[in-house]
Amino acid sequence: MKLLDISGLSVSFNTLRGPVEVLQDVSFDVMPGEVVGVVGESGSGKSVTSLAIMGLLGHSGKITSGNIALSGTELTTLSEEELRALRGPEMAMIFQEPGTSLNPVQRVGDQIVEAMTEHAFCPPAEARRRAVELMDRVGIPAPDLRARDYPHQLSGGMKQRIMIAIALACRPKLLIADEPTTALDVTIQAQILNLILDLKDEFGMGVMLITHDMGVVAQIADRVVVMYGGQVVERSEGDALFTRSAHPYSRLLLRSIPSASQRQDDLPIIKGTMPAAGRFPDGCRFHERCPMAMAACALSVPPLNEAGPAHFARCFRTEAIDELEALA
Amino acid sequence: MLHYATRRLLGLTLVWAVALIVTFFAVRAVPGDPIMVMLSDHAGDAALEARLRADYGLDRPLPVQFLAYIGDVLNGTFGLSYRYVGSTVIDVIRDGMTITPLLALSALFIAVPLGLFFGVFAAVRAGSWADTGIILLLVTFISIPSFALAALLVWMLSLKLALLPVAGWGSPAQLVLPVTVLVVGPMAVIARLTRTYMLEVLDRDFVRTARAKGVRENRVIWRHALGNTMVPIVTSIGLIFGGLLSGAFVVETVFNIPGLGRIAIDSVLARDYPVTMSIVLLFTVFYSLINLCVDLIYAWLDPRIRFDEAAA
Repeated sequence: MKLLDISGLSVSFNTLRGPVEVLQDVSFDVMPGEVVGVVGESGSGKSVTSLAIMGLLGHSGKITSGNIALSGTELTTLSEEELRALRGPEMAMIFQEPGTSLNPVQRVGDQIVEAMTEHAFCPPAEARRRAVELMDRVGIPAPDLRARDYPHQLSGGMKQRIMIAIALACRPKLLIADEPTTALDVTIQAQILNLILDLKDEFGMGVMLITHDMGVVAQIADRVVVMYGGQVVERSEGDALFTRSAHPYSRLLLRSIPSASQRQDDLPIIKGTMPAAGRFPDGCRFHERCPMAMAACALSVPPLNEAGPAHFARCFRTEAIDELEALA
Repeated sequence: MLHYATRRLLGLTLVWAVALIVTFFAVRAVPGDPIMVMLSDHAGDAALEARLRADYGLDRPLPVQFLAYIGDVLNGTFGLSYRYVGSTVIDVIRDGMTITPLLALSALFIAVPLGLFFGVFAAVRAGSWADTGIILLLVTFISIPSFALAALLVWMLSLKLALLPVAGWGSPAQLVLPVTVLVVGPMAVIARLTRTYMLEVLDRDFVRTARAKGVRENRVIWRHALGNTMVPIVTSIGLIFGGLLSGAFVVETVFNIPGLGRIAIDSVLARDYPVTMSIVLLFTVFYSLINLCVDLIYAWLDPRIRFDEAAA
């Protein structure tokens, strides 16, 4: 059974100028024990998708259509209290900014303990012992001493390890990692990613890894979802997206990975910027920036077409994708 | 921590010494000869005048008078009252010394929890009708002068409904109106501050983390969010306490309560300067001690404030 099954998910936020749709018809799934990479620029809807799954959209955000099923349980119809009970034991999340994601006036050990006691996961004394074990497992030296530290006494990498320990406290089945290494030093980034991968195998979790780093996804993801302008523009299994990418946006993103072996005078860029939610153009949302755009692209939204086995792309010109090299 | 507290106490003694010097010279600097005021009808009786001057020590040089004043403060008499001939200052203010702190502290202990509650209540409903209603009410409470509120409450609750005594001191019923008048303003100020700080904190990442790990919403709000607004709120509570002490002047006068505030006002009107200045001295000590407590509470509230590093 699918661990996470998102289908046709649309989300709107209420603003002063009325509702703005930030996610449109997003569908993908995560199987137990696999890593699904969700890639895209800032504002593409990656984080909103994860908050929608967690039920943390807040007062102004609303799921307008679609379904989210977690281990077969439909989340969109659950009450706030029912969702709360799932956050922690069923699904957990780690965030981009470890520096600000921990409560500054609570000891880090207590923050891990709280994740367990709030769900009556185990008795408080055992939670305390488990918290130290978890800190040891995520690679914090002298965990019994560090448990009494406050967040400001720890480095960024250590704080992110604490965040991971909090997320894993109740042995969740789904871990959402929202750009977990963006705010960290490069040397620490690899350590944290490897830790997440090791723990995934150990705990048998499914991982939804949100990132804007194609390189990271290429290394560790079993499947890839590329988002642009609140839509899924390409979705594939394994290496297909990297070897035979079928959407111009994904191709251009892949080309923008700097290569150490190849001397480049200029890093390739994608011209223009992604429009803010609510200001997307008609038709394909990428057509204004796309070197391959034709008249039809501005008229109607392309559907997610099959581009290969378990490989879908939202583009009218997938057949001609190889022309991109000549154009850009 | 202990080191810091000692250091701060030493600093405070300096503040108190300055207050001591200022009050002493202020009394001597005010125009008018207190002995001539006392003599009134007997003006011209040189023997009596000389005796009075000797009794009050006013015939000695200023430095000697100052040393004597320090002695009076240290032995707790605070010198002699000009108005009540033969009484020491402490005799005049002794009863008031328990009344005013009692009023101010009980008002503080009611205003703080109420203010926190309404501030949090409004913040978690930001933008709703309940929030707007509470804000309007708070602005009214902040704007209304305490003497006007006192008059209004006396008219309504004492005169029209005859529920509470109009004024006086001694029974618990007589406490209700003065404490209410004292509570309203500070409570509204604390509530507004709490609402503002809460709105800011509720948007912070660690609140999202708490929710993401399935912490119950009540605990998210009261423990994680409110816990992180306490430092600025406690700072303002220290300042608000000064307002409560001065508010006691008005309230004690309106409700005819024999506290330090009313004694101070009476002593000003009667030119009993030693009494006035002793009360100023006492308020200085009281206010500075409260603010020392506030600073010490910081360390307990926010581990990032490192007193020992600051001392090094």
